Amino acid sequence: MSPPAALQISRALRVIATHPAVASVTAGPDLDPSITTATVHIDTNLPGPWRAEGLSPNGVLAVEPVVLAFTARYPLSPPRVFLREDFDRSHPHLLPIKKGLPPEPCYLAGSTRELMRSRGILGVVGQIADWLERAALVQLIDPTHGWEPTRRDDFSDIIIADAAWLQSLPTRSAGSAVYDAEYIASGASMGDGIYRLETSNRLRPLDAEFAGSFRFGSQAGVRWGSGLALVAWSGKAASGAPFVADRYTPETVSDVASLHRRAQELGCGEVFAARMRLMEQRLRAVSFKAPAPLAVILLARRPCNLSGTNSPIEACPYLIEIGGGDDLSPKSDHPVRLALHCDVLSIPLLRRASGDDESQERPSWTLLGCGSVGSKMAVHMARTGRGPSVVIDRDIMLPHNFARHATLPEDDGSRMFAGKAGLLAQALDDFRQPATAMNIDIISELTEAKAGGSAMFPPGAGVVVNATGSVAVREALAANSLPSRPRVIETCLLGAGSFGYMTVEGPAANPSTADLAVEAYRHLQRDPSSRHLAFGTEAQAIAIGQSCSSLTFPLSDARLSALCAPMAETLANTLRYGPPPAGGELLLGRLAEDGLNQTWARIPIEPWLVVQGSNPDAPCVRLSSRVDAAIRQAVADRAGVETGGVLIGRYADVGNTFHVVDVLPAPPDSRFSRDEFILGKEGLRDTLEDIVSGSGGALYPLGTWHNHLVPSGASATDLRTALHLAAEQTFPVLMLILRPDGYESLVVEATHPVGLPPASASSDTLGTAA
Amino acid sequence: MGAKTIHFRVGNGDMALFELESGRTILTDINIRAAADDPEEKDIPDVAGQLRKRLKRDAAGRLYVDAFLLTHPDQDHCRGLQKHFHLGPLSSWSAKDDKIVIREMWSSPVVFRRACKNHTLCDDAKAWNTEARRRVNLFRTWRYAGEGDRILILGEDIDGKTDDLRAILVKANETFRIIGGVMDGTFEARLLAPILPSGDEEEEETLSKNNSSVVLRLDLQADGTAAAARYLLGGDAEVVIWERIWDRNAHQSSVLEYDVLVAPHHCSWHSLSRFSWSIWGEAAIVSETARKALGQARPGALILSSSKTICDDDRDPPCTRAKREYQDILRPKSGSFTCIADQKGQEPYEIEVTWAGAKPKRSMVAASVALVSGVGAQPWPHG
Repeated sequence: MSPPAALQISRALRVIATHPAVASVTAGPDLDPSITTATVHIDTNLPGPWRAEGLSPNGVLAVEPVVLAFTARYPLSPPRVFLREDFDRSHPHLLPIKKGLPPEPCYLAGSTRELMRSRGILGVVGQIADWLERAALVQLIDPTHGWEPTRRDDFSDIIIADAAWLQSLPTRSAGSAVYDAEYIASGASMGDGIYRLETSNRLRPLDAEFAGSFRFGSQAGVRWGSGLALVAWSGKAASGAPFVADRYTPETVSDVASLHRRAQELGCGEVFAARMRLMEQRLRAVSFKAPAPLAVILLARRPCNLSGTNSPIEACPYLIEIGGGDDLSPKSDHPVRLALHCDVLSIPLLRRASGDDESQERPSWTLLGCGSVGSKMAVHMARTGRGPSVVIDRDIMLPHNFARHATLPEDDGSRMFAGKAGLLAQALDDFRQPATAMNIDIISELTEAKAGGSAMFPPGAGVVVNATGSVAVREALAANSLPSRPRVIETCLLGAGSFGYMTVEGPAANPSTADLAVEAYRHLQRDPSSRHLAFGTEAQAIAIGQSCSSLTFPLSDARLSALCAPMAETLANTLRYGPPPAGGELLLGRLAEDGLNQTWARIPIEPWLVVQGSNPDAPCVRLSSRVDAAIRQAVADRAGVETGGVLIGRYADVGNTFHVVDVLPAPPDSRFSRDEFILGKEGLRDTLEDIVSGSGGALYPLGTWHNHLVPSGASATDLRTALHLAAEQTFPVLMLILRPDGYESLVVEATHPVGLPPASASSDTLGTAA
Repeated sequence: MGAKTIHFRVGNGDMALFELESGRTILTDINIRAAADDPEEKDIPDVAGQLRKRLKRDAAGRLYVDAFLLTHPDQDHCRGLQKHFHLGPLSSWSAKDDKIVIREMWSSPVVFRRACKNHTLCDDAKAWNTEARRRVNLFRTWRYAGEGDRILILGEDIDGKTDDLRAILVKANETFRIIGGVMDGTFEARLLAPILPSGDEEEEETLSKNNSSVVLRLDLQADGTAAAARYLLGGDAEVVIWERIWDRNAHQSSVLEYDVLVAPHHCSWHSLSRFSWSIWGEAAIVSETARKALGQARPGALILSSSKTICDDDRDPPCTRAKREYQDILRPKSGSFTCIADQKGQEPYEIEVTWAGAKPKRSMVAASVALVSGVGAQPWPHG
């Protein structure tokens, strides 16, 4: 042993002696020369009456000798810990026993090496002392932590079975059933080789054809085929209450006889024996060319949930090799092998691991866009058992897409140039959450969808998540008013990965996904520290006045993921509890340049006021409730005269809709009288310039508003002004009039051909809303 | 689950919190010295803060104890009452003061006595009496009291003063399992003293003040096991009381058995002998009768001295001779004697009651946690 290690160990022993639970430390016993051992006498802090006796009823001494074995790897590796040779081995939380070694306590649910690093040798001794204290009180199984599964010291075979399915099998009375299973194994003859067997939930009747249900195949030393799995469970105890196997007993099964005894202990002895008897009869006359596996899974009902699960049912798996004509009676010494139960990947398993509600059904929802943000959302949701049911994207995977996509490239490149939707559906399938992949153009589908609905939105779909980062898709969604269209949640990144953007539509699409985007633009434009990032030249996609094309700007996957994760959390909660019952939501997150800090704002948005055109082709005007309030306040402030201002927002040509998100007050040189309102100009151009440039052109003036003191429609003056404004504007001009009985809108558009003077301008439309 | 008892470090005084398996709390006596409330004073633990940390708040945000047992109105048993506890109707509780609500008072009948020359009361004791009388009067008027107005009188008073209070009165040798008007199966209390004086003046004088101290036996349930541990709280009862307690229970000595004894009067010799330790020294004769009353230790029993460190000198309490006597009692039972002042650090001394009995909570070394899992000691990275 190297001197530094010897020094470290002698230091450790001095430290150990200071622990309050340590009565004394002595050297030895001698083992291997490369190992230094010390016997630490630990006061197990027994309750008074046992302390007086000197030991607990289960044999834990008031002072327990514990041997610590240090190797030269100390202190990087903690010492191994051995209990007395005659320490009761039936305690849970003992490490699997290796032949010839005394029992070792499993004193930490985690890495002992990490414990050693973080809390030193005193931490290790403290854990051992606690372990002994709990062992005496039979508290190693802590109901709050759960039942410790039966310890098994030696197994090689693996039995794969859906734990949730197994847990659902027990009924009021004891029962058993046989299911088909598939296996793959090494080794040709009985007793040699390792099995990996996967059970199905297909029942196999024990009828005359039963022996034929075993199938065999082999090649190059590997065998495969069909086997069977026998599952047995307990029912009621004599009291009428469910039979509970509440004693922790070590695994002792080695042959069919001891397996029968084990089944008896677990309360399913009779049903198990009956099934084995029948099976023995059916197999009496056959002889297999190679051994076939019979998995036996005994389901034990424990007094509390198993550690880390929500069920008290423990699956105890075994494997019997059948050759035909085998003795399966309670006296048989036919060998039985211990197996490891391995759960299948399932929604309950994912939920359990995520600390989520296992019982909730997988929700139905549609994902639009299977790019970097969309794939992240889908996979985050799938990992909590809430993967999308429909995934839509018409693009194919290109090599650069793997820089941020949630799916992984294949060795053979087969995933390049595959449809993104199909690829994501494949990943969801692997999560046992099949999804329909649609390789279609979303906008065409939305605009052409008939009243009967679209395959994009399956019946019962709660939400549709738009992760396309496409303004066109957003506006097509906003324009699509089919009743079958679910509420839209939009997720994308803005400003070259500086902002996370998420909106949740209100009921009946009010506020709509487009209204919410305009609200977001307003929010960002008004924040001096955000506007240059969101709308500046670096945010390339903003240059044309929009923002969401996350696919086009260079960005690391880590940055993208950092912003996607909070959105995924919010989406998961929305899928779990439903979207907000009234109004919509805007969530904006900002990621600091160093990628370390992010801050999010959740902004509730009230429903917008809709001024519907008088005919189906007329433009629709949508006012933020804030705009409505500001207009009414301005009118109230100038009672008896007409007043007005400038409307700010966006015009969406796809939906032929004005989204009015703000109003500018009348400039100081405006004139107000009973008969007319004259909009002044002082300072107005500068203000407008600031809004347009500050939002990268995402927000702009739409037209004007003014009020009438009597319920009369647009006047000749109004029309004249509108025509003048229309001549200057490349999209229709909105003139909004607040009459005592509600809003009226006048929309005027220049229709003269390009290059000609604006001689003609027309197409007024009237609409009202209270 | 189990129950827990927390014995605060209050020098020569008593202050213990009983946390029942039901989650209810019983506080027995307090001795919150001014120095303990002084943040500058580092040597005296902030026992009020330690207590508050362990209490729950009700729906209205008020810290509370389900019951407060004042064994007797000496200053070292009720010091700090007015400062830290809400007295008066709940309606006058103030969030700003944030005082602890006493849902139910457990009081000796001494509150009905007038102060006399041998029986002076400190301000906190007077405040306790005023509050106790308020609650008794409410009961007398309405024959019912709600939370924060409840009181239980432990022991009958002379001259039939408590005769009309039967519903809120516990007589000596009676047991009860009700707390705050609700049956709580996780404990059983048996009142051993005060004992109703027989009437003559001398005895009445003998039985006043220290000798009117409540002596209570408390059985605690743990992990579903009833009476998993039995506590005997001696208050400040002196030798004559212990002699009388033995006389009354000699035929059923098991009544006096204990797993944990809080040694009476801070390990005073006066609870074991009629002779003064400082005068008679080793010649002082122990009262065999009192010793029997205090000597029914069960195997592995613990005796606690809620006192300053016990020195080998002529001081009393705590008295080194009393400590020796208790150690003698414990020896054949393999029990242990602990002086709370001798524990390391400033945290209170804790006893855990498990289904198999009581055991001191293991004192923690700086880097150690009580869980087998180790989770919670620090953030554990997950890969």
